[in-house]
Amino acid sequence: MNEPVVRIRDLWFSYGGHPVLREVNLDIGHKEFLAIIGPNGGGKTTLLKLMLGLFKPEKGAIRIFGKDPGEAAHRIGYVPQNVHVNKTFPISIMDVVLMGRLRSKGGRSHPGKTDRIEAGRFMEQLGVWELHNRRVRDLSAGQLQRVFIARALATEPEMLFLDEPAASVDAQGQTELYDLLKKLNEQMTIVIVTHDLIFLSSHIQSIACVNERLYYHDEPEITPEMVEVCQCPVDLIAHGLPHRVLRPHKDDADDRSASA
Amino acid sequence: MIEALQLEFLRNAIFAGLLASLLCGVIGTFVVVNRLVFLSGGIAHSAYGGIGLALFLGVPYLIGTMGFTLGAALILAVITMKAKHRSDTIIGVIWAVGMALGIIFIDLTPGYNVDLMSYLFGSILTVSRSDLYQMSVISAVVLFAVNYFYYDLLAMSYDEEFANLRGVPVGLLYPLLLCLVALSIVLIIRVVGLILVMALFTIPPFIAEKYSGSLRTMMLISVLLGALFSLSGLYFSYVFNLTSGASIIMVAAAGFFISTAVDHLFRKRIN
Repeated sequence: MNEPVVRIRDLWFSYGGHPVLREVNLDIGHKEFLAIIGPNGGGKTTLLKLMLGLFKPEKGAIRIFGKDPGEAAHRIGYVPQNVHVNKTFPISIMDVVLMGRLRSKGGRSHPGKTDRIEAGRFMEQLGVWELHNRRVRDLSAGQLQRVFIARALATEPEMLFLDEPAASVDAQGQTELYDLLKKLNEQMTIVIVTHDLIFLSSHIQSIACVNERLYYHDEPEITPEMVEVCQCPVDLIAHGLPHRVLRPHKDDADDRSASA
Repeated sequence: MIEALQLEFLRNAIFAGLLASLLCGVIGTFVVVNRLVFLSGGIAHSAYGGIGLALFLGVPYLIGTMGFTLGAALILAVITMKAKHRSDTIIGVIWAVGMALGIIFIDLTPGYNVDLMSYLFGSILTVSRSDLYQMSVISAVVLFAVNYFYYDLLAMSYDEEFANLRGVPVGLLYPLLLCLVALSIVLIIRVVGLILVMALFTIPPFIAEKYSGSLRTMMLISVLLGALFSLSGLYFSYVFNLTSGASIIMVAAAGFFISTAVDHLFRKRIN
C-alpha cells in the first residue's frame, strides 16, 4: 500500500470532560473503502469531524494527505448525517448543490456557468436533477440525502466521508447508493459510517469499530473482538450472511450469547 | 393627496420609507432565516446609548449612533460565537445597558430639549435632504456587501458546518452580517424608531418566506411588502393625522395577521 491518505496517531478527544475517543490509531490507504461501525455515542461522527478539522484533537496527531486536517478539508467531500438541519430554509436544491462549488477557484464565491453545469451533472448522476428548482422542505429525507451526496461530489473530492447515508433511504435506494459508491471507489477513498454492513460487505475493504477505542480490521469482516466491543453486530449475526461478515471462530457462540 | 406630494417633507418621507423597505427586506431576510431577531432587538436598543452619546458629545446623530451600534454588534458577535448557550442572556444584558446608558447620557447633557419620542417611535416626517444622502450611502454600502458575499452568506446561513469546510470565512462573515444589521438599524430608526424597528425587520420577511423558493426571492418579496406597508402607513398617517412610525407598523401588523389567517384557512381547505 502507498503512503496512507489518513494517518492518525494516539488520538484522544473528550467532550465536556467526558472521554469520547482514546488512543485511536488509524491508517487509511489510497482508494480504500472503509466502513466505520459502532454503538450510538461511540464516537464515530466525532472521529469524522476530527478528520475534517471541525474539532481539534485533545492529544495526538491527524494527518490528511500529509497535512493538517484544516488545510486538507476542501479535498474531502462530506455528507453529514443530519439532512434535516434547517429544513424550512428557503433555499433551492440547485443552490444547495452549488455550495459544493463554493470557493473552488478561491476569492469571491459566485458560481459561474461551469459550476452550474457541474452541479447539474452530479444531480443527474444522483437522480435529483428534476428537483433542482424545488425547495429543501419539499423533499423527502431520502431525496435530500441524495442531494447532499451530489453536493459532496460537486466539490470534486479525492476522498468521500459519508455519515450514515442510508439511514433514511429505502432498500432499493440503498442498493443504488452502494453501487454508486462502489463505482466512485475506483477514483477515490471512501469512509462510511454505517449500521448495515450486510449490504456493504461485498463493497468494503476494511472495517473499523469505534467505541471510545478503535478496532481496525483490514478485511470486510468483523473480528470477535469487535463483536465484544461494539454491540451493533448482534443485528448482523441475526439477519445477515454470517460467513461473510463474521469470521468463523470457536468462541463465536459464546460471544453471541454474551452480547445478545 | 396630489398636492401633498408637492410638500418636500412628504417627498423625503416617501423616499426614506422606500430606502428603509429596501434594507429591511434584504437584511431582515438574513435576520429571520438565521434566527437573529432577538439579537437584532439587542442591537436596536443598544443604539439608544449611541443616540444619548451623540447628544452628549454634540456630534451628528448618524456618527454617534453608528459607532455605538457597530461596537455593540461586534461585541455581540464575539460573545455569541464563543458562548452560544448563554447568548440570549448576554443579549438581554446589552439590551438593557444600552438603553440605560442612553438615558444617563441625556441626563448629563446640559440644556437637553430633543424630542425623545422621535427616536423611540421614528420621525420620518422630519427627514431632511442631507439625511437622505447619508441614508443612500449606507444603503449602497449594505447592498453592495450583501451582493458581493451573497453565496457565502447563503451557505453560512443554511449549513454553517459545510460552509466552513469549503473555506467560507464564517468567523469573519458572521460579525460582518451583524455589522450590516447594525448599519440598517441605525438607518431604519430614523423612519420607525428603535421600539418599532423589529416589526419592520421581521414581518415582511416572515410573510415572504412562505412564498419564496430561494433566499433571493424572499428578499425581493420582502422589499415589495415593506414598500407597500411604508407607503400605505404614511398615507394613513397623513389622512388620519397619526404618528407615522406607528401607522406603518400597524399596517404591517395587519398584513401579518391577514397572511397568517389566509394560510390557516387555505391549509384547512386542503385537509
